[in-house]
Amino acid sequence: MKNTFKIALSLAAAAVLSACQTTQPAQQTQSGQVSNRASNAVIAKSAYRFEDKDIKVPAYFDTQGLANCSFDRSNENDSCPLKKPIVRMYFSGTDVGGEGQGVDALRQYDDSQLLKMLENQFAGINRFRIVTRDDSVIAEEKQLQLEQQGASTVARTAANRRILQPDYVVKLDTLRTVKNEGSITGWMDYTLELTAATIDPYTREMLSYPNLGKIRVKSEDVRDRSELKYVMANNRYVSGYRYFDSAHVNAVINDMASRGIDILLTRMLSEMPATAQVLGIKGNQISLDRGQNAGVLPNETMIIFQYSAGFVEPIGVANVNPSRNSAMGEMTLWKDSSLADTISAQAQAGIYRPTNSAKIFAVSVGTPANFLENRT
Amino acid sequence: MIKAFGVKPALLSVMLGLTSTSALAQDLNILLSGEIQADRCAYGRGASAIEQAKTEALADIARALQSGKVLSIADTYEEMDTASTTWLQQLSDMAQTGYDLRGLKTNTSKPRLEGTDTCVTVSVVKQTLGTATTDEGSWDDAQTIVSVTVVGEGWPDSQQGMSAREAAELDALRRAISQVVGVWLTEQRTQYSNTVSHTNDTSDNFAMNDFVARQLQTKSSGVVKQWQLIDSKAIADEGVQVTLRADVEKQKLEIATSHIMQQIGSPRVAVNAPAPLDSELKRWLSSQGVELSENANLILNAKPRMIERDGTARLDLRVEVTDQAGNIYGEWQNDPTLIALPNGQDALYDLIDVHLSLDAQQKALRQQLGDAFMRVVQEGGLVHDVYINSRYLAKPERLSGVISTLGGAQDVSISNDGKFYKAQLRFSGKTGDLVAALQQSLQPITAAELPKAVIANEFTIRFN
Repeated sequence: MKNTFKIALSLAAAAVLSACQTTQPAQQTQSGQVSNRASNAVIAKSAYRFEDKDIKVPAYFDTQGLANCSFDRSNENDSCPLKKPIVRMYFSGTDVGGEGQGVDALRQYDDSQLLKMLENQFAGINRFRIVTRDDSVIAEEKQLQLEQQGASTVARTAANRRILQPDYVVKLDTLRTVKNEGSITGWMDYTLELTAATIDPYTREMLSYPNLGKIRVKSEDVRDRSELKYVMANNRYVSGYRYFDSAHVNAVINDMASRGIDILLTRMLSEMPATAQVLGIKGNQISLDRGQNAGVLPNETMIIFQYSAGFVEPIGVANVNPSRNSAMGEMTLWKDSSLADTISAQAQAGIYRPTNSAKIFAVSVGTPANFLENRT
Repeated sequence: MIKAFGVKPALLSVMLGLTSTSALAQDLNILLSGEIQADRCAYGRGASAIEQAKTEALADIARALQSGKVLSIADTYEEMDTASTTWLQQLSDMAQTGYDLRGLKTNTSKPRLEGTDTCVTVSVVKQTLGTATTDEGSWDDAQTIVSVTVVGEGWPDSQQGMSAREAAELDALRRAISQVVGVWLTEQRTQYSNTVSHTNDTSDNFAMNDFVARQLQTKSSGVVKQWQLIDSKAIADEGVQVTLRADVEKQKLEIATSHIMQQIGSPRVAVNAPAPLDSELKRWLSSQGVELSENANLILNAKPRMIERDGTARLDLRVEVTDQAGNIYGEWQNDPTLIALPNGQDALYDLIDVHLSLDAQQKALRQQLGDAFMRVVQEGGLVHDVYINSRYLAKPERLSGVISTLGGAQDVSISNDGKFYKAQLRFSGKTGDLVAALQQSLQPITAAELPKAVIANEFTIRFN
């Protein structure tokens, strides 16, 4: 009996132990591949191609109201969603180190023109107010105005419209590398890596937002490999791509940088989406309280959601086109939910006006579908 | 009182000036309470859109009021209470009899967004109708004497041998003059605006009035004809407070004040600056009514510096007002951030042109010049050098004492280089007056008759 009891106890203990052994450690991470592949642009799907499962509120939606705005550009309230930081842009060209085939020509690359291109492109998306660093054009224009409008007019205008003081510095760092492959017939392989930082020039704090990550552009993204081929004989250049000629190298690097900036823009638009409040819905037409002034771009794909008690509930997707300070959109798909059905039914019957306790907002899902075709 | 979103009554008054009465506001709403409402929208967002919508609404209300047909718009007239109907009737009657409806209080609603428009509702609520009157005093030319009642305070001053009461009386009289000078200067503002900046800033005005009053008092030109003690009482620290009624003679005050103002306003200046800045500055000073002279004792030292960057240039211009002895009376610096121009041959000309044509900078420079000139007068006039050949002086040790007694002379210092005695002094009058005074007062201490004085320049007198 005693033995039987011991055996039973041992079995029970073994059962308990075996039960413990079956508990696995939590698997919350997984190993990922660090890639050095070229970056690609991620853009929004057209609102007309959305499916029900796609209708979800994207990151960085912002539901602040316009009530906080003074609409005075030079003296806007900090809590106004239309207040954009004033920035000055810098291209911090990293020197190309080392010696070798094509390195000298790559080193001669001048990125001051690239800076102007960057300023132009960034100004268009209306996420920042940009203070240009193009001193020569500005000085030239003032000289012309001085000749054409006279000193007192120029002085008065200059005194009334002072140069904006930047809140931040947007700095782009570039890393340029080159390698050549092959022997008699070889080809050049350039890589450009771009990173962007937003810095408070006084506190020197680098801001964590917007986080644009790193953009890698390879020469093969912009040129066919055959275009970068050359022939050597007795260690001397014979024909093909003139890798030692800075003009030719500039052409390639410019294209690469341009592509890099395009990708940067698309990331910026995803990191800083345009948001607006829906004033009313009539049928499938929605009216938004802000437009270009809040950076809403043409053909913007926007998710429409209700914000109530801290919860967001998507109700549909719309294709939006802005006017200067408002926007109109077309609901291309209503979410398959009871809330969306209720609102839709009311909107079909007349004008649905959101209440104060359940406001409706719109947030863009990123770069508009046709942005890369039309704007880059 | 107008509510937070209210509009100044003046705005409605502007609207009332509109002549068009054709479009009688069909969109006006008259509530049962007698409140008149207009609802208007304007394209855009923010203050300008709100203002525009408000202006349109006010204009409509104004038109309706002016037409005197408010009653005909009121659909609910029959249902209104007596107070409301009386108020509307009153409004209508007053407009018809041409009564001024300015000053009507209006309320403006919170703005709301409608598509690309911003809309507001403006309303005129029931209120007591009346007009405002103004009562402002002015300088009456017919009067010859201005009587003012002033309070002065004083404490015993052993250094100057003054009792507390004497000090208090002096203080009160100075205040009396200052008060009258203030009124006169305000009247004459335009006349002296070119030379001395008599700004709207109250503290500046007080400083200027007080300064002129002190000058008048030291010159003992007798602008106070008579005064009468009204009250006197002891205050802390053995002080006395007196209340006087003083009669100030207007004509004397006018003459004496304008003399001081001219002194402040137009001493001659020399310009010391590299070309082309010197000619530009001279041109500007002439246009400001400042007299120029190569040999003036006051010198305008200007130093331009070009701040160059990436093919562009900015101007950093510093101006100092000094006298020959190196005393600095005023400083001014331009705002170099104003403008950058392409850095070329003519950049300096163009930059000077732009900086000197800016009102704010002109005003600041003028103010500095005015202040500098005022300081010169305040300190007793410009520094003059008087050289007297030693052989003319029988009692050189008395030279300082004699010159110090000259009216208008102060800060006298004497030096001797063997052949000449050099007397340096501040003198507030004309150089000619100083020469005449010197020739007369030096007689008792001279060994021989003084020769005719040689006026080397405005501030150097030589008895060779």
